[in-house]
Amino acid sequence: MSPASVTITEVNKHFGKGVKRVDVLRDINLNIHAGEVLVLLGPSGCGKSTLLRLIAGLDSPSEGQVEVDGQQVSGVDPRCGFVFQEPRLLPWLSLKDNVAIGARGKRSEREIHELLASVGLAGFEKHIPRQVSGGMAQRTALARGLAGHPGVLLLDEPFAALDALTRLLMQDLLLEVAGATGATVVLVTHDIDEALHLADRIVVLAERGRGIDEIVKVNHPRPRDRSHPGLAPLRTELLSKFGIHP
Amino acid sequence: MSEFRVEQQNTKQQRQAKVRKNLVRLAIGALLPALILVIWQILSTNGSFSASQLPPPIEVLQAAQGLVERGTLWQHLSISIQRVFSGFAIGAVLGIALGSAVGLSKTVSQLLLPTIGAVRAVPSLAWVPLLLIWMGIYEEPKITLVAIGAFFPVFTTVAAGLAAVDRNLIEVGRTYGLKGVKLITKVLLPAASPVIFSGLRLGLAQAWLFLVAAELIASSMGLGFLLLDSQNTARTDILFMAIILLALLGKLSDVVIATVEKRALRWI
Ligand SMILES: Nc1ncnc2c1ncn2[C@@H]1O[C@H](COP(=O)(O)OP(=O)(O)O)[C@@H](O)[C@H]1O
Ligand SMILES: [Mg+2]
Repeated sequence: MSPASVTITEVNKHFGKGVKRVDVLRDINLNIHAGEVLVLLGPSGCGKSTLLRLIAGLDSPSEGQVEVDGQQVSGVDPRCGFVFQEPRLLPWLSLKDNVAIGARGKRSEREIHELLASVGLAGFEKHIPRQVSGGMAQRTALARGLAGHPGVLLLDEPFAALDALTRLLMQDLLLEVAGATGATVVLVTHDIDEALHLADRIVVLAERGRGIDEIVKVNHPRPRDRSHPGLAPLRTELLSKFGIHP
Repeated sequence: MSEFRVEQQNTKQQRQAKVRKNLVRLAIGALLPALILVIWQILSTNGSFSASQLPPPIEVLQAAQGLVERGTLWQHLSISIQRVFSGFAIGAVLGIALGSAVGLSKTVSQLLLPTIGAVRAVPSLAWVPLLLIWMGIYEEPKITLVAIGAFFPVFTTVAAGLAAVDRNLIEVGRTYGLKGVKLITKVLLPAASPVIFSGLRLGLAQAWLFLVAAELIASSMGLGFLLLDSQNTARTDILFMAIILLALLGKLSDVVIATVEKRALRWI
């Protein structure tokens, strides 16, 4: 599938009823362009994961609607791939069979091998999750997310549990493989540098239930130099949003 | 279940070390039985016990030989094995089916659990008279009792195991379009399989327990009958033989499941 756009219109989401009601997302309007890399940034508990789950169709909005490529999302959406914070591989399946789950039966054995090779796991097809490192498991999860040729790849803090060096390598790998398969990328992170390295646009969510705070455009060509001085003002701006004044 | 490469270099040294390790393990495991045998031999010959209380080991062996020569040992053995096998199969299948239904559906769970709990609270032997009235005195009541014995451990563990499957893995399945039967067979059952296997092993042990109960109460063949018959005819040697055979068969059948389990759960 070619990159898909995502349109979020007047979306509200609350959990619970009556006195227990928690409003998590309010008045969310967002157009995610086909092929762009959009990063969701915000304080913990503000509803980033919830928003991602609404796009994937894992949960439905209380009000408003979510469209992928102009078609409303209802139920789990086959046009989306999902990478969770933890690899969440099925521990009884080989890496290859785990990726095949993501392909929903649409890909040949050879294509799955190629996909694993593209995330640097050639030769590990028959290993099982417990035999590989956390970074390798997360790369498998990335391959699984892309295996169904998704129009949109959704990633929920996918690198947060990895060590610093692996995290940087994974960021570049993500751009490479997502670019190659041609998917819109929506990534949740709380790492400002990660956002600055990856994003075409950064959507800053306000506290829980307060909606979108600001949308920041990052006008730098990729691949980006992590220490590019041009990113410094943006970094300062974002840090101050979270109450940090360097 | 997919095959996968287990990283191990089968160098000659490593293989020898493994064989040695297994032999040592076997030897250690055989230590206590050997000791018991020696004590048994001593106690049965030094006048501590009369021969009708505790026959020496060799007499037990001779008793077995006698039954083999008359051709009846195999009959007793095979009928007992058949009963355990059929009863266990029925109980395990029902246990997995109902356990799955209860473990997967809140509604079914609310519907069935109180009743099953009540049935479970009935002491197992209380069923015997009823089973005899309903089913006569042949194989059906015995197999049914064994099935009841096997059912509960399997049912309970399967229900609990499925209800406790990691929500995150289920969500992965849902994300990639698995639902209904496919979600159950591809995610839920494999994820719960370690628990299910331990339930099957418990169920099998209970099946042997209930077999002896059934055969003690109403039977003219089988190891349980042999126990009762040898008591009535004061053949303590045959009694010991029957006990030892029950121990061996119980262990052997557990080893069979354990082997399957080890293969199926290599991913753990
Ligand atoms: N299924 C749910 N039921 C009730 N509350 C939920 C549920 N999912 C999320 N929440 C609540 O919604 C809020 C936002 O959660 P989440 O989207 O996970 O935040 P984030 O990913 O930004 O940290 C949290 O306060 C959380 O407790
Ligand atoms: Mg989250």
